[in-house]
Amino acid sequence: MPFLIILVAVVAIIAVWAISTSNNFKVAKIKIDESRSGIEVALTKRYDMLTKQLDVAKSFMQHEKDFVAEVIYLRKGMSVGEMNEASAKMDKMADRINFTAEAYPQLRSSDLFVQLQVGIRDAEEHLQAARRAYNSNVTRFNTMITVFPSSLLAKNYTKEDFFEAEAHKRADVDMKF
Amino acid sequence: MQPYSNHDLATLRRKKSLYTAGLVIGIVLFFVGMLSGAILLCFPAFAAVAVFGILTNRISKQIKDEICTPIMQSVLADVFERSEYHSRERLPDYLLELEEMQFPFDVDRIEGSDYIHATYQGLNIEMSDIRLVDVRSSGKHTSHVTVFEGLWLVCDFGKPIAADLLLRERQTKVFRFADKWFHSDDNIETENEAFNEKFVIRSRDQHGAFYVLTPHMMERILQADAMGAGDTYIRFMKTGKVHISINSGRDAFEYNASESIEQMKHRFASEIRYVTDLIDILRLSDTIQNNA
Repeated sequence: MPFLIILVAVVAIIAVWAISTSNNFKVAKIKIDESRSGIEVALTKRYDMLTKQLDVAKSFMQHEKDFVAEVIYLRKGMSVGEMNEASAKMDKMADRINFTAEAYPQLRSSDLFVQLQVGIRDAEEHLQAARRAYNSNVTRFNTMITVFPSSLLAKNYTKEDFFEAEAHKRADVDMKF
Repeated sequence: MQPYSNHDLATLRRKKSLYTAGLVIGIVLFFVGMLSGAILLCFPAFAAVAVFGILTNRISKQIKDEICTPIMQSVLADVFERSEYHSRERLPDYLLELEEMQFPFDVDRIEGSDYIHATYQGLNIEMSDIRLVDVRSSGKHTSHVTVFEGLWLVCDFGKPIAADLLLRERQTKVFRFADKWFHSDDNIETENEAFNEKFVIRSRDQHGAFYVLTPHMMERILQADAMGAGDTYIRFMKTGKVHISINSGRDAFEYNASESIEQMKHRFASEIRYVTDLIDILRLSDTIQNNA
């Protein structure tokens, strides 16, 4: 009889642990999805600000007819790779606008341009926050599915990719202006 | 009024020591009279206790009002554009917002002193020494336990901050496990392991929390925390207020019997410098300033 009680207790503990761990995986996945959509929002905001700034810049550089930015595709539910690529293209676009603004003092001192610079800086800070939140959630999830004993229940899950904005910033992205 | 010298301070201290000695002797004689049945001794002893008690209290107030207060006012005038100092007042209850601090203890009574309302580089700040007391009863026995004693600072940035966020110094590894277990929804872990080890980070808004806690900000908070003596609580509120409370177990602006006027001034100035350093850390953060 005592053996049976111990067996039932052990089975109950294992069942509670399995349900709790399985739920934790799901919660962690939801958090990753939430923070990924945070990155999408921040990327969209940054892109909007950059395109507005590009329009302002173009009005000051009418003789530079070939100043055309490559189209950056943003959509809901992008993969981490696509988000990394879009972010890297935006970095290039921002660098190009800033480089061009150096040659046009009137553009640099324009109120609208300065306002947009402040907006872009804020959007970039939001993007950094979203990236760090996402990577923090990915670290937690990847750790959960890797370490024992929770790894025993993680057969249906694969490791998530990190959003490595800085690495892609340095990558060679083909952009034409 | 003529400023007090160290000689005046020493004279007041000597008087205070004499009155305290009179008070102690009065108490002893009163009990001796009670125990030996000499009621005639009790009456003069009781009178001595009353008189020396009043005199001790009066001279303590005189030292606080006539020596500590002018020193404090001169220190504040050196640092702040505008300042008010009330030695016997404290931060009002509505400003403390104790529920928002999520303290790991109960609070039944709030005491405090040395209220300062000042403007630092355009920023509105209020602070005071605060003592929080938990009244614990078990059967007939009631005890008053001081659960928090130290400086409490409230900065008003005037505009909303990105997230409601609490940073609370972590007590032990057991607490860390308990925090993870009971607050898994709103506990946040950053990429800075030293910061995670030091502070419980709690917010319902993960993105907002990361936006406020930039890597640079976390480093600066760790540096500031290393300077302070005590457990630090920092509460960022969407309303634009930031509360910083340091449970140091001491009254930061209290008169110390062994100090000279210069030493007192130096100590008060270093306490105020610590406060302004903390404010500078918050002000340096773009993510607070952009919103605020």
